[in-house]
Amino acid sequence: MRPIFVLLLAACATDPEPDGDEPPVEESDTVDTEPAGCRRVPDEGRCEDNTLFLCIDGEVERTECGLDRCGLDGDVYACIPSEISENPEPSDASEMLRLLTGTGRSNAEAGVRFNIPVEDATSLLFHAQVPDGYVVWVEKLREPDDFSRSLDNPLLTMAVYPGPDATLAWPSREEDGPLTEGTWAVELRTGVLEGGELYYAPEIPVSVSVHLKTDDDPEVGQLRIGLVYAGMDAPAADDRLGQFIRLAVEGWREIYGRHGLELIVTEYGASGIDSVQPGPGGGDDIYAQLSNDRLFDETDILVLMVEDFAAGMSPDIIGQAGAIPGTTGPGPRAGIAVSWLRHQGTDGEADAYEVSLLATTLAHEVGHYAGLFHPVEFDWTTFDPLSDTPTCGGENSCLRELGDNLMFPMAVCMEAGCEDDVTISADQVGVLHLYPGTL
Amino acid sequence: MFRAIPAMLLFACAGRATPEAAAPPSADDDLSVLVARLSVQHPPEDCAIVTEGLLTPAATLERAVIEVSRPPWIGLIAGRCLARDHAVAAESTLAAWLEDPKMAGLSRTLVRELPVVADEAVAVRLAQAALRGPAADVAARVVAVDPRPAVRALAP
Repeated sequence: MRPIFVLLLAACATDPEPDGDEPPVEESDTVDTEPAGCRRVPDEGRCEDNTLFLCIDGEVERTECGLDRCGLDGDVYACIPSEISENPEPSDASEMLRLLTGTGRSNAEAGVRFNIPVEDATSLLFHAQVPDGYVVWVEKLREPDDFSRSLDNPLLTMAVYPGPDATLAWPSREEDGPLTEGTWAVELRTGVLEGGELYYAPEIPVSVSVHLKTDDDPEVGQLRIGLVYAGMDAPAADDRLGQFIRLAVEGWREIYGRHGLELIVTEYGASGIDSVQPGPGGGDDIYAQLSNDRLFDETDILVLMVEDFAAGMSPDIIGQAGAIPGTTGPGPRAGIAVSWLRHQGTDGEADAYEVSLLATTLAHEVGHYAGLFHPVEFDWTTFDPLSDTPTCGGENSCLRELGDNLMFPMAVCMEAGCEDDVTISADQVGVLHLYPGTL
Repeated sequence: MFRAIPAMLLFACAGRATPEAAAPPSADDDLSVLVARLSVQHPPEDCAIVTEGLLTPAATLERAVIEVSRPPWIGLIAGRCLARDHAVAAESTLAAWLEDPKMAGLSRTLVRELPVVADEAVAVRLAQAALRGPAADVAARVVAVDPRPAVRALAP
């Protein structure tokens, strides 16, 4: 298909009325046969695929079949109903969660919409995956009244950036408002990266999962962690490396515990894999494999303790979260990786300071995974969308205003015991509690 | 397929430092720049960025390994860059570190750089040192799969 500059979607009409034959999809209890905001093409202009809907400000436009994309120039959006259904074996990992799953296929415009029935839920975690070699991203989130939520802030969610999967948590912040009852919709695009360029790719299968969380006490929550040791069995109680990591986990526990977050950490060994690994999304499928193998409960967040990061496959980093936010189910970026060697340093031993440092790194990276960005980026002009993380002007000012914040992009811990001094703002705590992986 | 609107920003982990190129006039300034560059939650990706603008990159990397202990990853990243980009000039220093029990952590990092040491004779000597040092177990595995027969021949 030749390159075409495709305009963004126009707002769809809000009251669809059937004009012709019934849509050619099999109805089920949970499938929306006519997506909200879309009108069916009249018989006279219907395209061969029978699934094309045009949404142009209430006007139904005639189609001109014979074009390779079976649409019109200008604002065109084809809404293929995609099926989301309740998982027939709902997760018993938590009474607070319902799991929905579904599949769909992007249309000729590389777009696909998933409708999510929401009832009595406080937050949702939407996760979409595409086959290897393709990318997917969230283009719009629509509320039940078809209002399109803005996801424009570059530090709101990584789901809007192309990747092998896309994870969206909503609401992300308390100011986003409640998750109202009704049918929400997530509109995705599929694409492919070639030669550094991004191209839309049509007709790509997409699989999705949706966790709906009902939280009666949003000020208290549990994060369940599956701590996996790459390249070894889970260390014995008297093992020095195990002692180092466990002491750091206790420091992490203290940081989160001050804000109503309890950590439930279960350890696992993965002696069958190398101790040196790329970070999540670094070109290896180890995270998909580990999360698919389900060593641990479905709602656990994978934290992979690696010796070091594979050279050339990921940045020289000390820890990396797969996505912001991340999924609690399986996926190519499902997890966090942290290097224990990089926290020990050149002597290969861990002192009290290095324990504190590892504690803050674990808290920082899991903070990313639960939806937190840095309060300011290294340009010192890009700020997170939270009201109570102050803006600042320049490096020195930002160090003064935000230098003790857990999510500050520079290492916050420079002395032993520093985990006692690390701060998390009230809005940041709100994000952590809203995250559907916090139960 | 067709070209997308070319405004998408690819994100890895949020917030990677983009250090400004510095032109420090002294070795101490070099070290300060290096430490500032690496004292971040997500240090820069490649050694070219780590040493960009430094007056004496090899010497600065060596000083970072010896003199900088906080945060602890600075010495490891500096040592890795020294092995990658300056192995010939720094051979004796690297060999000493590979054998030093007090450098057990750095040895584990350096050993994994052996395959990218371009000079085969240097790689052989460094491999020999590694096989005598605290990371000998890791060295044995790395050496055994090195693409160069002269290095592979050292495998125990």
